[in-house]
Amino acid sequence: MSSLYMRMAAQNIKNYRRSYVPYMFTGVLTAAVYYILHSLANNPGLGETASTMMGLGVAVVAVFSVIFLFYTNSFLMKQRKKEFGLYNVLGMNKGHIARVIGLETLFTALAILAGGIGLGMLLDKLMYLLVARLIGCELRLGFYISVGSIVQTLSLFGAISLVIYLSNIVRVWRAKPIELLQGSNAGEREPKTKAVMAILGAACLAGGYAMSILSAQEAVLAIYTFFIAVILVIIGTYLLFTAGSIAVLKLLRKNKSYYYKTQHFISVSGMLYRMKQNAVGLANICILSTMVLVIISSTCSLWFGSAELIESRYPGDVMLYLDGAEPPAGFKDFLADELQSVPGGDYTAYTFGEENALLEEGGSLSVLEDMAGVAPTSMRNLRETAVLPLAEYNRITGCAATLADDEALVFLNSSAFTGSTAELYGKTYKAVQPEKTFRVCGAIAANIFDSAVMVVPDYDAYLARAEASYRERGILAGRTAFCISLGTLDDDAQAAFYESFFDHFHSWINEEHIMEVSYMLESRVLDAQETYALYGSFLFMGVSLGLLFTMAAVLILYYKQISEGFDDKNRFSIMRKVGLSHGEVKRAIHAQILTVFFLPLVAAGIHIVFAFPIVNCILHALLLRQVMTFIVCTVVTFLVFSVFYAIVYALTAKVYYRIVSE
Amino acid sequence: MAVLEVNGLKKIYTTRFGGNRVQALTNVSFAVERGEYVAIMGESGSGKTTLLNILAALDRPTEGEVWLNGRALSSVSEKEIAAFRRQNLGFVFQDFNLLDTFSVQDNIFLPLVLAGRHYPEMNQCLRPIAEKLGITDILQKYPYEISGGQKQRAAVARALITAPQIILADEPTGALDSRASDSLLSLFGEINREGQTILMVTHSTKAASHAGRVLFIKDGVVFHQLYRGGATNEEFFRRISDTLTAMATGGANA
Repeated sequence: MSSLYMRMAAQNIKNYRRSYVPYMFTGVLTAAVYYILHSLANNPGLGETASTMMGLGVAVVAVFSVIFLFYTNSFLMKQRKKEFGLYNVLGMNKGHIARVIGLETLFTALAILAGGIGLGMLLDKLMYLLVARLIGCELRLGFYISVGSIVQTLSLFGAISLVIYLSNIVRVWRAKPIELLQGSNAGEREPKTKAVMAILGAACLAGGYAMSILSAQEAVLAIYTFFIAVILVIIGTYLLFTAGSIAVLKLLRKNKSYYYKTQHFISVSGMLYRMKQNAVGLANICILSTMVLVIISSTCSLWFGSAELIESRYPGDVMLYLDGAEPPAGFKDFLADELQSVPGGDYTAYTFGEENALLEEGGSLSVLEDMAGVAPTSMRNLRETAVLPLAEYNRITGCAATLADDEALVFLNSSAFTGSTAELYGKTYKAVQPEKTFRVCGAIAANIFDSAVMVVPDYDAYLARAEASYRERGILAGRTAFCISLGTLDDDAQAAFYESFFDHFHSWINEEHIMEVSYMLESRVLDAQETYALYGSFLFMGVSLGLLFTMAAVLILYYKQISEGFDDKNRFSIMRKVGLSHGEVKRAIHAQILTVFFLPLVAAGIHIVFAFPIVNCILHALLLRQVMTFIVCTVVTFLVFSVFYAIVYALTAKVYYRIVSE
Repeated sequence: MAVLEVNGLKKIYTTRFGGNRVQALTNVSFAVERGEYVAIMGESGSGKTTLLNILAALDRPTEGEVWLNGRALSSVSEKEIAAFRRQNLGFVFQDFNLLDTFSVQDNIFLPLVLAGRHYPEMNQCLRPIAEKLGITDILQKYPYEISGGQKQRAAVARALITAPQIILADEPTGALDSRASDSLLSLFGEINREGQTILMVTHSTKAASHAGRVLFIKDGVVFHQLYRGGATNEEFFRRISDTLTAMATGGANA
């Protein structure tokens, strides 16, 4: 008897392979991703930043697995409603059916667990190498199997399977045989037009888009408005897909000369019913796709942009900023001593003052003595400004610029300065375009605000003017930057030099009793490692989660089309009897699947275009200053995504056509 | 002149791996004159449905030929066949085959839309037919909102709207209660009197008794035929019944 159940369960999985194979495939992939992330999170070789990121990823994948496996399972069960009814009529009681379902669930779960953990173990090493390379950490060779991750994967997916099994049992238990037999034959009503919802949806979407475009100018605002804009767009998408699509289709139907054309006639009426059942699913897919695209393109941009970001953030291998108009006596000798052991070691030093300035509407730049009076709305006009003596400018750039007493060179780091005047502690200078520009201070460039540079002929006079205001704030006016170049030292040697230099610098300060000096000391190599670890794991998480979400999105589409294929079969057979040719059937099917498939993709594409300004602004705040990198990443991501999408479309259309013409 | 001529039809089905061969039609020949109302009777498995599928150009015979209005169906190419069916044949099915996604009116328009006609023209065709069939009030309703009898009337309207050479009806009363059946049969009689040629496949004696001539099919051949002559429906019903009894009990000739 029990072998009968085994045979039935095996046979059922085989008969429903069109649904079971993609289900198991998804399960295997999800389990594999879960295993890999879990194992990476616990891999001691990756460092803390990467481990934390992977840990977050593990949580996301766990939540995703539960939702997604439940969702696909409900598709499977819906298809088989009739079959369970038949078993019931044939004399199997619900206990027997539960046994068959139990065995099926067991087989599927075993396949998913074995396949998932197996695939996970195979790819684990590869992924480790990939992540290690991305974040630039040291490689440890050897095959690494994480027992903890295996146990964790087994228990999570085992538990999910168990809960799915229980929900299926409840489903069969609650159903009455007659209902089971009738299955999905209940007549569908025509959907109602909800004009208010459609208009509300359009308004939400427009609002979200507008927020993206308008707030793109203000990095500080963008981070807050981003979430509101996202929520508006999500609401708008749902409303437009559900109510908007039906309103549009009904309008099309009202237009008699459009509607009564062979292709339109079949597709408009078909879509009307399609949209009623699928609108929410399509909206889900659209939002999922948009998320994937934004995540992958922005993490890619951050990763590809990180090299240049570090370059501009750290003008020297080691940066030291000392406050005060002059560096402490004897410091330069100390520094020269330190650099003696470094082949090719050298430094450049220059002094500058650091101020906050407001870029005014007319274009003039005026340095603020006090930030208190700045309105939040003009935050975006704030410029972190470095004030530089003319002699230092000429020395660093090699120019021979001369300035009249009331002239100043003014330039911005991100755009051209178009104003004619600049004000500095009560003195107004005429702005002059410089011959060459350069980044004065990495720390200033790293600020969320854009930065500006003023080169003045009377630096000492400026310091004197600023002194009073500075003393009130308890800091020294002026700053000296030391850009230290470590010549040909490799990364490890640079890190080692930094560590020892740090210690030596401290003891030197203590020996010389220079207690009041405040300073900032940074190593490019060490910070770069941290940046790469962060953005590298961002990228890895973005791509792996993105792939998982994409797969989910297209699989949902696949299931939708398959289950609709069974409904449409009847429709198309009637049309053929009434005089629709094979070719016309095929064209109608393609038109319909094409719309259902690509509507979410097109909508996602539009979302991406409108999301671009605000996402770019946030990336800007994260110090990614190359718009081109982001554009290229977005376009490439979208194209790759579309190709992937098109392949699944072709597969689905094929299976769908086979079902309909059976 | 014969609208439909069937000559030596033979149909053999072969199972997928060529193992079993089932002979559905052995040798069927008959002709239907313009304006005639012919019923084809036979038990389940006698080959009625196969015959109807071949007449509807949904299936091809193994041997023999069907002539519709002087044109051999085998000469119609696969590409033209859908259009040919649309222009020359009207169908009424047992289970109505109305599409739930269309209103009654759009269901009736379906063949015309497929033929690429314009809305005003279609609308003009529909008016008198809807009037005659008494479905003017339900044109805007959906199939799931109306009764079986009304659905079958809508299906008849869909068959009539292309002004076909012949209407092929497959058990049109099969899914109807007796009142709706009676009313549909009298409707068929009425449109036949107006000149419409009808070929109906049925195993209901009552339905057949409304026809002008009844063909009996058994084991894939036309076994016998009866003409109404001047008989009333009741008399014709009795004669058909007697023939069926004779056929069932093995009597060779009635």
